Amino acid sequence: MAFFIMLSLALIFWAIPTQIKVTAMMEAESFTPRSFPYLIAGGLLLVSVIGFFNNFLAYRKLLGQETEQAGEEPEEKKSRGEILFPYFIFALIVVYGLMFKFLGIVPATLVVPPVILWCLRCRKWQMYVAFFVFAAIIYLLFTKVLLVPIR
Amino acid sequence: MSFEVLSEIFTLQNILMMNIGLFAGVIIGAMPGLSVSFAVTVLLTMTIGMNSIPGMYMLLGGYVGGMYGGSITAILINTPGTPNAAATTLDGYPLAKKGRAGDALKAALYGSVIGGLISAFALLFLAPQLAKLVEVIASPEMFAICLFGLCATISLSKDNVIKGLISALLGLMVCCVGLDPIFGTSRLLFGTRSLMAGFRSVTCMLGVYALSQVLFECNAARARGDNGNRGFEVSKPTLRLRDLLKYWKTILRSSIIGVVVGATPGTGGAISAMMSYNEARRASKNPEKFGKGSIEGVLAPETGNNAVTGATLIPMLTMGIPGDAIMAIMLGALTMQGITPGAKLFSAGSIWVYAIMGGLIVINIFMLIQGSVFIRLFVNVSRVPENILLPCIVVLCVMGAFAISNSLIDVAVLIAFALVGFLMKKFGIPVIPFTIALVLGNLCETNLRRALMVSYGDPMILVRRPICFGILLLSAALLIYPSISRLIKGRRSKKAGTETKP
Repeated sequence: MAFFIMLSLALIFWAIPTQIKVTAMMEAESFTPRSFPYLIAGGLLLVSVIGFFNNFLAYRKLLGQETEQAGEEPEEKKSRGEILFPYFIFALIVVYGLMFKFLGIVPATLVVPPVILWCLRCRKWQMYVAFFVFAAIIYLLFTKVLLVPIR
Repeated sequence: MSFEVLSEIFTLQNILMMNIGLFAGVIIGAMPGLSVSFAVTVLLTMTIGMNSIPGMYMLLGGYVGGMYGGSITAILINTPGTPNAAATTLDGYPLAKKGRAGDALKAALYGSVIGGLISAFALLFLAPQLAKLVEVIASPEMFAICLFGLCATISLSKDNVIKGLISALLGLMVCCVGLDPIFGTSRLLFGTRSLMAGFRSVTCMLGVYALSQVLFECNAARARGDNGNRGFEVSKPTLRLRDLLKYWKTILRSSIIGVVVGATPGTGGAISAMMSYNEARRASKNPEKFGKGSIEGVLAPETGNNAVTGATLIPMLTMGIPGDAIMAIMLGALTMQGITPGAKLFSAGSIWVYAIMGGLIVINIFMLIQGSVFIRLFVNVSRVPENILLPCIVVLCVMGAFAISNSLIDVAVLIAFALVGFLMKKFGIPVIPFTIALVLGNLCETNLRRALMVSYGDPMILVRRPICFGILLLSAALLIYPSISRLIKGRRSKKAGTETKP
C-alpha cells in the first residue's frame, strides 16, 4: 500500500502538473484535462491510505495470534530460485523484444524461445522441432495470410 | 432482413473462423492454468486485419469452446481447465473414477451446447428490447452505468475490495495517457510521442492476460518438465441424448441461472456454474448422489457456465459495457475494428449485430459436432506438457502485438504490461477491474465531462436525475456490501464462539 500512496502522491504533485499542460482558456472550464487524472489520483491516494491502515490493523491482530500460536510449523516457503525464475524469464522476453527490434523476428525466434524451453527443463528434441514448426506456421500466418510486415 | 443475416453468417470464411475459434478455445480451455480470457486474447492476435464478423466469430468460438474445454481436465484429472469448470470436478471426476469418463464428457458437452443455445436465443430476443430502452439514456446515466460496470467487477474481489478499487483506479489512470478526449491536450506522455493515441487496450490485455501467464506458470512448468498431464482414459459413452433430456428441469433451471448471471455485469461462468450446481442438488430427488458421481452434477454446472456466453453479450452490445474480462477483450477488439457497440448498432438498420447474435447459435451447433468428433483429440492435446506451450505463447504474443499496428511500441507495451499483470497477480491485486477500467476509462471520462458541460459544471446533475442517482446508489451498495457482509459474518462467528465456550 505504501507503494500506491507514493505513486498517487507522485501523480498529484509531479506527473499531472508537469505532464498535462492547461491553457488559460481551459482553466475557465469547470473540468480541465487535469481534472479526471486528479480525481483518479485522489481516489487512489484515499483508497491506498485506507488500505494501509487496514493492513496495519490486520498485522497487529496477526501478531497477537502469532504469539498465541507460537511453536506451530511455518508455511513452506519458496526457494530464491523459484522467486527469481519468473523475472529471469521476463528478462529473456525483453531480450527477445530487443532482438526483434534490431535483428528481426526470425533470428530472435531461433535463439530466445529455445533458451526458454531449455530453462523450462525441456529435454526432448521433438519438443524443439514442434516449437519451430509452430513458430513457422505463426510466422507464415501473420506474413502471408494477415499480411503483417514482420521483418 | 433474415435472409440477408443468414447469407452473412453462412459464408465459407465465417464457418471456418467459427470452427478454428472453437477448436482453439476447447484446447486452451482444456489446459489447466490457461483461462478462457487467455484463449480469447490469444485468438485476438489472429483477428487483426480480418473483417469484423469473421473476427468476432473466431473470438466467440474461442469463448464458447473455452467454457466447454475446461470440463475435460475437470473430469479426467480433477483439475478444472478454467475456473468456470471448478464445479464440474465435484461429480465429473468421481464419474471418471467409476469408469464413466465418456458419459461425464458427453453430459458436459450436451449441457454446454444446450446452455449456450438457450443463452444465444435469450441474447437474440432480449438485446434489441434493451437497446430501445438504452437509446433514451443521456450522458449522466451513461457515466453511472460505466461506474456500475466497474463497481460490479470490483465487488467480485470479495476478499479485498480495496485491492479491487486500486486495480480499477490504476486502469483508469492508464486510460488518461494520450490525448485528452475533449481538448486534445497531451497527457502523461513523458516525451513518448508514439503514445499520443494512448495505450491500446488490446495490447495491454494481451500483456496482462496472455504474456503474464508465461511468467506465472513458468515455475510449475519447470517443475513438471517434459511430463504432461495424465488422467483417466475416455470410456465409450453409454448415455444417450434421451437419457440426458430426462434432466430437462435441471437443464432449464441452470440455463435461466446462466442467462441472469451472465447479463449481470461483474459476474461470470464460475459463479453461474456453482449456483446451478447448488440449485440442482437442492432440487434433486437424489441429492445424496451429488459429489459421488451424478450425471446431473455435471450437467448443471456445464449448462450454467455456457449459458452465460450469450447473456454477457447483452450489456456489451447494447450499452458498450463489458460485464467481464472476456467481454472487455471483445470490446477492445471491436474498438480496434472501428465498431462502437451501443444501442445505435440496433437502430441503424445494420445487419452486423444480428449476424453476430445469429452466429452464436451456429457456433454452439458446431461445438456439438466438434465435441462429438474430436473428443479424443482434445483429451490428448490437453495432455501436452506445459513447458512447450510457454515459448509458443511468447512468440504468438510478440507477433500479435506487433501486428496490431505494425509498430514496435506495441511490443514494448505488451512486455511492460506482462510484468504489470504478473506483479498484480503475485500481490493478490485482481486483474479484471484493471482491464475493465482500461476499456471503460475513456467512455467514463467523456460522459462525465459531457454531463458537467450540460449542467455548467454542477456535479449535482448526477444526483438530481433519478435513474442516474439510482444506478450510482446501486454501485455504492455493490462496493460496501462485501465489507458489511464480512463484518456481519465475523460478528456471528465471534458470537457463536463465545456461546460454545463454557
